[in-house]
Amino acid sequence: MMNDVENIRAQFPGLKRDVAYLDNAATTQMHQSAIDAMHAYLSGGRSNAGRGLYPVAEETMKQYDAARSTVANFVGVDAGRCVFTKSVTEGLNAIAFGLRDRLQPGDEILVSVFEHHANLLPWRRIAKERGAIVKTMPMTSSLTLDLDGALAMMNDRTKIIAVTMMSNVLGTVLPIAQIVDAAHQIGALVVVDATQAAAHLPINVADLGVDALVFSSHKCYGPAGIAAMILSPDLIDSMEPMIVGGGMVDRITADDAVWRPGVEKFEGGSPNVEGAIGFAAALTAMAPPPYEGGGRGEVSRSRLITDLKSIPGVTVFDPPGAVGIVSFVVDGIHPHDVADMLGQRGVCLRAGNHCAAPLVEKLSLNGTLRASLAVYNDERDIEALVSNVKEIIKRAKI
Amino acid sequence: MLLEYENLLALANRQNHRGPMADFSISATAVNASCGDECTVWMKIIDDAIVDVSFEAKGCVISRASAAVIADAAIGLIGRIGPMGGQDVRALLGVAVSPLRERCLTTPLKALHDALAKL
Repeated sequence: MMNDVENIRAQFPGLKRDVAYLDNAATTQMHQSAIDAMHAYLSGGRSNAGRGLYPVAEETMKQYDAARSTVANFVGVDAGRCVFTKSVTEGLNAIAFGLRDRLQPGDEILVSVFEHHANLLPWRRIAKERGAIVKTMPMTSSLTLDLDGALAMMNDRTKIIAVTMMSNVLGTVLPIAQIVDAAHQIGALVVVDATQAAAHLPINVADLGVDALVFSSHKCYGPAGIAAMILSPDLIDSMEPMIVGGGMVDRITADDAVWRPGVEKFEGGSPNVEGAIGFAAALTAMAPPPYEGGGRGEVSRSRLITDLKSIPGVTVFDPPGAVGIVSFVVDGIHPHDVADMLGQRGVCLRAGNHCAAPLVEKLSLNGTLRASLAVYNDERDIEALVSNVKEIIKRAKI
Repeated sequence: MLLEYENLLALANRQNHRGPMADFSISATAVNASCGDECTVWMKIIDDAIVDVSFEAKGCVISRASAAVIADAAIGLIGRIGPMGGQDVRALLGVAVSPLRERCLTTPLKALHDALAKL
């Protein structure tokens, strides 16, 4: 359906602004279908979900349930495993909270060096509370996961492996299937942060066998403020909810309460119905993930890497097998200064440690420039970035 | 912005007031974790007056240029600098700095205030 770049760009009204938008790992532009779906819901009369007993409430609930099914199906599971959260960060915190009682002093949690702070700090916190230890799976010199090193760290004390599917700094893709196989042999749970991967790689949670996986709407062309937390049937049943309150209680007595079964247990408070509807619409429009099989986006990425590498004074980080993201630095100019100057010239990208400070420190850097691609980026965006980096280097007299 | 960058770079590379001070009265370090900026300020205080300031700053051009102009401005001030903020530093720099760079701009100022708070 989407094989023509102008046709694709026309589906994203945010691109009418005359900039080269290369900050998609932070937030993508929203697909028109998501905007339309939310507009239709909001302008058609809305209600809270799961509360009212009138026809509008019934319609709301139908749309909310349908959205849940669509989002769940996008990653290969049924709706009964898909919890809506406000963000991936909330989802990962909820999972860490829910698993804390499974940890004993001396137990180990493995994370990778690639983790975003959202998949690091919740584990550090519960480890501290429970006397457990967080250990970091290493990186190879080619900036991929050192799988042998990671496997060697797994033992009978390993209870949880929390790992990203795709680095938000380097685009490195991690071998989730191998990690899951090894983890399950020792009885460890695997929690996957698919925030970046969801827009770039096909994901089938059932095939991968991961115990929990999270991804967000606003990085997949949908609205902000909503994300999915996919849990195994065991975790749906056994995990304690982090947020308690309205909408998730089955029975309440003077001094106790029983949670509702299934996903509702984890959705205390009024749900973001329009967000869920927009999320589902965006995924429907974009499925299958556009970069599968080395699609157009990867051609752009290859060209971006080649062109950036050709500029004297630019160092590009290019792990084998990476997708969607290119990090680079300019000798002698701080990444924030370059990004600031690029921004003034209509090129939007991110600079800094990208909320992955341990990885950036491992690279012995104070930050990188990160160009992150989406389905709508084209050669003009690449040219705008590359020509302006050249100009900045030339005029900044490094 | 490129011309502004060149002006900022000139300030950032200036050697005035650079490096640790041997006989300082107070000192503090501030960091801007998101940018990797780090600034240490040393001050000599006599009779409640700032008689000398030196600093070491590393990081982006805005934080380094900010440290340079703040050091110039602080010398001779009597007592605490008071409610000096990002707008004051912008005025000292004489260039437009985006609000998105506020922490870059004010990290040296935070070091200065943290040091003065030790008096």
